[in-house]
Order: sequence, then C-alpha cells, then structure tokens
Amino acid sequence: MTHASQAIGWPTRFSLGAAATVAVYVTIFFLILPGLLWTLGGRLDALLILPPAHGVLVRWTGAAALCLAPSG
Amino acid sequence: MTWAMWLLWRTGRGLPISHLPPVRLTTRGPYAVTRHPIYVGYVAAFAGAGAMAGSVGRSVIVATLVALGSVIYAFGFEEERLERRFGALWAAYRRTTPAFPVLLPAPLRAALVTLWKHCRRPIERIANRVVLVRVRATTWVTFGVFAAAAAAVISAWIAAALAGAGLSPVRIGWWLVGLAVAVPVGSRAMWLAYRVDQLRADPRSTLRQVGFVSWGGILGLFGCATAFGWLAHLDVLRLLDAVALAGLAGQAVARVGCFTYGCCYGRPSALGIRWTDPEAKPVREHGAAEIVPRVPTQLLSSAAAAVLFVTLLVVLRHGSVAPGAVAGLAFLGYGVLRFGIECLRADPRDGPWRLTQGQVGCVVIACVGLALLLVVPEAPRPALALDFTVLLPLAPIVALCSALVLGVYGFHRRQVGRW
Repeated sequence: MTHASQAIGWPTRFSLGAAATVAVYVTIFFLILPGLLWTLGGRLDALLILPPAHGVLVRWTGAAALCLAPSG
Repeated sequence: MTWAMWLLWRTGRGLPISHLPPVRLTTRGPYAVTRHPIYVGYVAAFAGAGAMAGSVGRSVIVATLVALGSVIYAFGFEEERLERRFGALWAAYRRTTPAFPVLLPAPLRAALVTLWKHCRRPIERIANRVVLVRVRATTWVTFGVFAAAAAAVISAWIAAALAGAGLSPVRIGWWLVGLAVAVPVGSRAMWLAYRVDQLRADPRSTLRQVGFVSWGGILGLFGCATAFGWLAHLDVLRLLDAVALAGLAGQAVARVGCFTYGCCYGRPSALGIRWTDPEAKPVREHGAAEIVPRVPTQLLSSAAAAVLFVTLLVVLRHGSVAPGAVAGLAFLGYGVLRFGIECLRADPRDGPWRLTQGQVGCVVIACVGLALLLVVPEAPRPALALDFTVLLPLAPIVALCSALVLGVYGFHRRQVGRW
C-alpha cells in the first residue's frame, strides 16, 4: 500500500479515473478489509471462547497504539 | 499512518496508490524510523482498537495475521520493486533504515546470526545426507525415514482422536490403512497433474518417473478424513480439527525430510545452507559449478508448522472450542506462513498474479481456513479427547503404514528420483 504503490505503477496526472481508483483503494483498505478482519476477530473470540481482555493496562495500551497509529 | 500518507503527498508528490505513486523516495518523518510506516500504523490501529474493545481475537490473533501479511508483502513483493524503481537511492535508504524496527531489533538480529553461524555446519551435514543406504542396486533416501516418521506421528494422533470419539480399534485400523494409501496417492496425483502435457505425450515414461508434490498429500489426508468421517457418521468438523493438528505435527517432521533431499530449496543467500552432495536437488539442477548457499526454506516451513501446532495446542488447552475452529486456524495460519516462506524459494513466478505454484496452493488453503472460520457455527463443544491407550493394539497397523510410506518415498532403484 505504501511503497508498493510507488513501485507498481508510474505517475499519472490526476483525473476522474484516478479519483475512482483512489475511492476503490480507500474502500478496500479502509472499509472492507478492516470490516472483514474485525468480524473475523469477533468470530475467533466466540469460536475459541477467548476470555475478554480486561484491565486498565490493556485499555491504555490499546489507546496508546491507536494514538500512535496516525503518526506511524 | 496519516502522517506517512501526508508526507508521501507533500514530499513524494503522490499517494500510496498505484495510479498516483510518489515520484520521489520519501525518507523523512516516520520513514526515517521504519521503511513501512503505513503498515506499522495499520497494525497498531487494528491491535489498539481490538484491545480497547477487550477482544483477544482482534488485538492478538488477527493483528498478528495482519502484521504477518504486511511483513510478507513488504519483503516478498514490495521491496524488490522499489529497488528496481529507485535503484541506488533505495539501496542507500535500506542500509540506514530498518524495515520493521520492532520486529527484530539489531542486537537480537546480530545474536541470532552468530548463533546460526555456529549451528550451520552440523545442519549442513544433515542437508547433505541425501542417501541413507545403498543395498546392491537399490537406494534408500533419508527423506523416506522422515516421511515414515511423519506418517507414524499422524497415524498415532488420529488413532488416539478416533478412539476418543468411541471408534473400535478395527475401524481405526482400516482408517489408518486408507490414510496411508491416500497421502502418497494424492501427492503422486498432483505431481502428475503438474505434468499433464508430458503425461499425454509419453505416458509410459512419465509414469515410470518418481515424483511427488506435498500439497497433494495434504489434499489426500483431508479428503480421506472428511470422507471417512462422513461415512462413519462422525462429527466431521471435530475430526478435521484433530486431523489438522496431526497434519501440522507430521508436516513439521516431513519437511526436515525435504531438507535432506534438497527439494523445495530456497534462493541464494549468504547466510544459507550449502548443498554439496551430487544427489541433492540443487546440485542436480544447477550443477556442481554453481553450489551456493541457499535459504533453508524446508526448515523454515518445518518450524512454522511446529510453532502453529504448539500454539493451537495451547488454544485447545482450556477444553471447549467450536468444532472446525482449530482446523480453520490451522489452514489460515499455515497458508499465511507458508506463503511467506514460498517467497524465499527459487521457484519461477509463473502462476496467476505473478505467484509461484506453491503460493497459489497457500492462497487456496488460507481461503479454505478463512471460510471455515466465518461459517462454522458458534457452538463450542469439548475437543476430541485423545486416547493413546489404543496405540498398543494398533501398533502393528501404525508400523505397517509407516513401512508403506517408507517404501513409497524412501525406496529408489538405481539412482535417486528426479523430483
């Protein structure tokens, strides 16, 4: 997604076609894929009867990772 | 992630999208810390959101899968394209900036390399033990011993699971014999399927050649298990869970056999293993003049299967799981791990989407695993209890199955088979 995109194709001028491509990429990588993975994770919790991750430390770690994600 | 994308737009003059790629290599900001900040951010966001939601499945299992996928894509596909595109600029950037700093910190990497250099010589001796023994005109290869050991492990595990399900030793015995036939037949059939044109042109000589493909064996194993479970009115999904674990244990053993044969060898690498035995496949295919150290991909897939086996045993430790979940995780996990290892193989990328044939197999097996995990009912039941006491009366059958596998894979006539 990052450098791969730099490597796969060559620069083209921005156009309606390119805008559609951006929309498709955003839909796949920021809507469909996370949605599928989120569903899969939830299913795994239920199928394997995984105990819920409780605790302040877990929540704060999660929050820290979420905060770091935009800068990563 | 957002910062990295913004930098790509501002300084790279593009977007992280193939049709609008940056024209300049971005090395500032998060790109000065890691070569793949968007992937790192993606995984961190997913794991963080999963932890906030209190979900172990999301924050640990799926986040690990996403991280694995990112690493595989970055190393297996992306970086070689970037090298072609940016040339020396990329090479200099790669020397100064780690791909994933968290993954393998420099001191740990250095320690592992030193340890590997100490172990490499004895491991190379195992790699070059292609022929176990020659008796007159016959040759017995070491691969056969590992295949037979894998057959014994798989048979014992499945027998214990079937006994736990209440099957009589006689029925289990028949099942094991069927399995011992199905695996070699499956791997042989897939080898022939890869050579269908050759088979049509010259069936006699093609059939006389010795050759197997491990994916066919896996197909034979699960096909036989499903058919038997269905015919015997067993819970097929619970049976598949047991067979998946057995298959992983067997794969961990059998792949060491591939290592001794030299098949499935990897790309040249300075830290790799050197096959020098004239009968080893890399030497047979490239000649003695081109003996170079290669990535021991067989050992990597053996280790991947072993790690997955132990992980799934830990998952099963607390007793109840939904039937089919362990098989689904085994397929998905092994498919993803093996896909990454296949990137290190020396095979041509002549499959669809420029994948190797092995990678296509990995995609199929991972999709089967994913489908299983998404469709099996959420009705946890105790996993099949393992009753190893049944192995005492079944010991002769297990030995017979192993001997059959040893004969099929280990026995070669005058020269070592060309697969």
